[in-house]
Amino acid sequence: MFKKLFCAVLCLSMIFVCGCTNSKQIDKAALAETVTVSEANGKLIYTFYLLSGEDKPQGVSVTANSFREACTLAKEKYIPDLRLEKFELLVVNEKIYSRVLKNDLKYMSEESFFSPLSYVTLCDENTIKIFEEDKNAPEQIEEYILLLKNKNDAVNINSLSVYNSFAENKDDEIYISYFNSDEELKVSYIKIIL
Amino acid sequence: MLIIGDIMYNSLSENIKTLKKLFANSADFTVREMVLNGTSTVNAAIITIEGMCSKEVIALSVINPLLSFDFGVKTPDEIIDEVKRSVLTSSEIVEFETLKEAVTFSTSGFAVLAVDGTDRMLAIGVQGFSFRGVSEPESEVVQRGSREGFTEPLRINMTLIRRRIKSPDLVFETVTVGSNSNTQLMLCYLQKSVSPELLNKIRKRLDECNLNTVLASGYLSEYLEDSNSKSIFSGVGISERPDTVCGKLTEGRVAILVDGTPAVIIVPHLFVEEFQSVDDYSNRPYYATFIRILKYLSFFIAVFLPGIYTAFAQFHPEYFPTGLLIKTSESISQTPLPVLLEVILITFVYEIMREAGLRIPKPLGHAVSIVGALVIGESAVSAGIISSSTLMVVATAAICSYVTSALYPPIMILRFIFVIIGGIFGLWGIVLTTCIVLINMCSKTSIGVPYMSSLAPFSLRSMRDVFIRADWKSLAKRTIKVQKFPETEDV
Amino acid sequence: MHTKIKFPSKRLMLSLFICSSLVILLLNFNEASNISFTFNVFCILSGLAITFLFFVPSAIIKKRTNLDFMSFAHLKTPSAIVFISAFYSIYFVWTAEYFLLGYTDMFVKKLNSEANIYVVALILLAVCSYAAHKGLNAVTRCGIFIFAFSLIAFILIFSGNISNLDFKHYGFEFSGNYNNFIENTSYFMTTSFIAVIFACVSVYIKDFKTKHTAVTLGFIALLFIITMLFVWFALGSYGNSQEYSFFTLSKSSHLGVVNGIDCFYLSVSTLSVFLILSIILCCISKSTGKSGSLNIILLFSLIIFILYICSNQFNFVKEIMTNHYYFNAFSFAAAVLVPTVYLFVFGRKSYV
Repeated sequence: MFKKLFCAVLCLSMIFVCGCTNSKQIDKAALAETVTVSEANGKLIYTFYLLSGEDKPQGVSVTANSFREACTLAKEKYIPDLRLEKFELLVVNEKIYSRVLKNDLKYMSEESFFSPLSYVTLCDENTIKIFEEDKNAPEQIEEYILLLKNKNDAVNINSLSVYNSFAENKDDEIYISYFNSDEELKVSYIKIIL
Repeated sequence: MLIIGDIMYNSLSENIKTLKKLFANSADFTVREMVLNGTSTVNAAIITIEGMCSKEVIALSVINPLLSFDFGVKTPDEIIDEVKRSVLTSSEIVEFETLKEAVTFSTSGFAVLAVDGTDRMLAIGVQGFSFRGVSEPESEVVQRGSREGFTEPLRINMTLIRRRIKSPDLVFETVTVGSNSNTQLMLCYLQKSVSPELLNKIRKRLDECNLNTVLASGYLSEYLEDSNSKSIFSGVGISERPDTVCGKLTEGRVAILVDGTPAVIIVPHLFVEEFQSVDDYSNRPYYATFIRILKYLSFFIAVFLPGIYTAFAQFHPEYFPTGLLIKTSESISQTPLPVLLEVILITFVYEIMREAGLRIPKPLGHAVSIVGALVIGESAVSAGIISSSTLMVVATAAICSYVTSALYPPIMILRFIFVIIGGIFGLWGIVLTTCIVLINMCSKTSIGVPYMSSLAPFSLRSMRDVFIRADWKSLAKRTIKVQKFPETEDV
Repeated sequence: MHTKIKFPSKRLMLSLFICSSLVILLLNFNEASNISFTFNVFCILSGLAITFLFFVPSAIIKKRTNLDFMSFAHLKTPSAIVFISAFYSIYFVWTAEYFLLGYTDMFVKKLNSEANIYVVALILLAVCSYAAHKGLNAVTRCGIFIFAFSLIAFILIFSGNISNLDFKHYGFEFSGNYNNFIENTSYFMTTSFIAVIFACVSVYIKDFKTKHTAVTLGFIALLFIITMLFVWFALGSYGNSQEYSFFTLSKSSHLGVVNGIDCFYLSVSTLSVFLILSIILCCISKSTGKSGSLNIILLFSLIIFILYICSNQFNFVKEIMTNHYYFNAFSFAAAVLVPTVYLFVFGRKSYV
């Protein structure tokens, strides 16, 4: 009898001490699917696009010097329930990739919540703007990336392969996907040198 | 209070007076007194319990022959011998010498013949009580097997088994339990298949049953289970089908028939048997295998799905696929309750409806299903009290739990436990709770046989009838006796 | 349920295999860039070969007397059994700490950074105490199910990473130095704790053959090698940036539309640590001579928990507890030194 009572008290106290308080409830969690990196007035702008059922894309822009800083700032000031476990796509403007890409990928490789299979791509200004208007843009981009990979195996499409290519490639040049949308969305690949 | 003893008086009037006192002058205690023909008149009486005997049979087979016979100069003891030998036409006549047996026989539907001047009585088999006919058991419906099921009278159940196993190996052993009810049990086994140690253990446990009244086989289940292995799973099997029981008997198990209930106890009982049914052995092996695997999957879905859903929704939303995540998140965000409470509420309401559906009179059954569908299925979701995704999950788990309906009680308990643990501790909690349940099941025994036999301890030979149903040619090669399972204790 | 019924040796080996898998699940050393895959394979094989040697004394005792070392010591030196029991109890407490600290560290860093590690440890120890109370037989039966699930998980994780394999950037050259060899080998040698478990509980098994040990270690080596193959060729430098490479492997596996199955990693690592701690508590209660006593099990669980709190409060304690050199030295003493002494002194007269 005493043992059962002791176990019951232990269980109840454990229930109160832990568990309930740190849940990331599905209806409250703000899961970021896509992040675009662009520049305005000499400053880097990281825009987090959240998963939602709305018709229009929900994006929150943060000015920061790096992805790490942007995530911290976004959590503190704009999106307290920000979660990056569902992060799938990093889109970097072609003009600024040399400043941010390597460091941002290093940050992603160090944090366990990022999936190594998150897509990484470069694009032009117009493509960045598509994300603000079209909710299906990330899906479309990912499809194009996969098609490109099927055609050309040398292209690095996810953070795992891009990071490893940076680390192992002695010539510091790698192939990465590139989107432009002058008339319509097109994908190709470019050689980047760091 | 008069205590039934071993004394039987020589005087008929004393015996009748004592029996009347014992039955407290009960309205159904009937005495038909008569005078037997002979050189000297001898008084006798037929004692019956009204409603238990057939009046026509008594009149034709007992009273008429007794009154027509000329007993000559016989003494009362000789009269008893004569009656037993050559007067009565009844097929069952038992002689006894105690009032206790007189009570037992009369309450079992026998007519008791008492003769003045002797302390011996005769019990004559003239049972004629009304009982339910043999029909298909509703709890174990099959497509291809027999449509016969056990009924309440013990003798009919014995016949149903005897008809299927026409072998002198089949033995029925009488046991009486219940100090008030004197319920008759039959231990049924195949003497060449069963283990004597197993039988002794069962006899010993039945002896230890200290109940006053035994009205159903479920009363005995707890006495038959091993005392050192308590679990929410039952170590005792129940069946209402004669073909199932006969199949189990050939594996060295023991069936316990209880008078007054159609549910027959089968021991030892293993976990893997919950997923086996008579249909498996009538259908083609490939189809039977598919159904078996379906049953195992349904069991896992019924137990784990609501818990995993709750854990994912509360702690790991990233584990949902993206499309499902958006829809689930939307539907849950419109409801006022957290996911954990929602799942518990829906499960609870479902259990109330299920229980109501069981008890409700048939004419009102339609009303319950309409109320259930409309109230829960439509209105509650539209009103935003519960979310449609949660409702889908609980409904799926509920349907899956009926695939193995014998396991419904443990499935229901485990489901609640996993939902609560998943909502509080997440997937990690579910994994640890699974470990606790597994340890409990792996340490459980059923009359010394490990409950998880075939799986743990693993037996490759038994696998031909666990996840798959091998064809009859390989099943018939060697029947695996239950006492031969690995790590079986002392049986 | 503590019966006198012996269970097959293969089942104990299966459980020991799952226990060893935690070593690779908690793989946490960051390889220097000049250590190649083949060098790591060499370290794995060396470590496990040494582990096999650790089995030898207790295997000889088992073959000759059909007893485990603890029972043998009890038989031969009843007066010294207190010291032997104390020594092995301390060893098993250390082993429990080693894996508990590693597991909770991984749990907080990879799975839930806001979790209260004391509650995690307490609940884990409570569950394992219940399992140990049920007996080694029940725990090893549970191990069958854990093995089945782990097998599925490993197959899914490895098959999901096949498309990430890149043999162009990384080759099969053999490069590494003496220090790397010592460090890596000693890490893989931590599996030698299974030899001590065997020395403690082999009296409960039947049909023991030496090849069972060899086959088990062979499969452990295979698992380790396949893991290193994927860590090296699929994760590459990405895997070096994070601790617990196996977690990263689970995150990088993709099966069709499903990207990342780290839920399987959580489940497998939890199941493995549950099995290790349960078996260790069984061994502790066996070494004290009161197999299955709930009071002894709860007492030692409390000791482990208190030591766990101390390790987390005082860094130097944690460093000692998780140092695999000290752990291996202790394993050597428990699996080889003490049993060998007994074998030399009493072994020749002990044929059955």
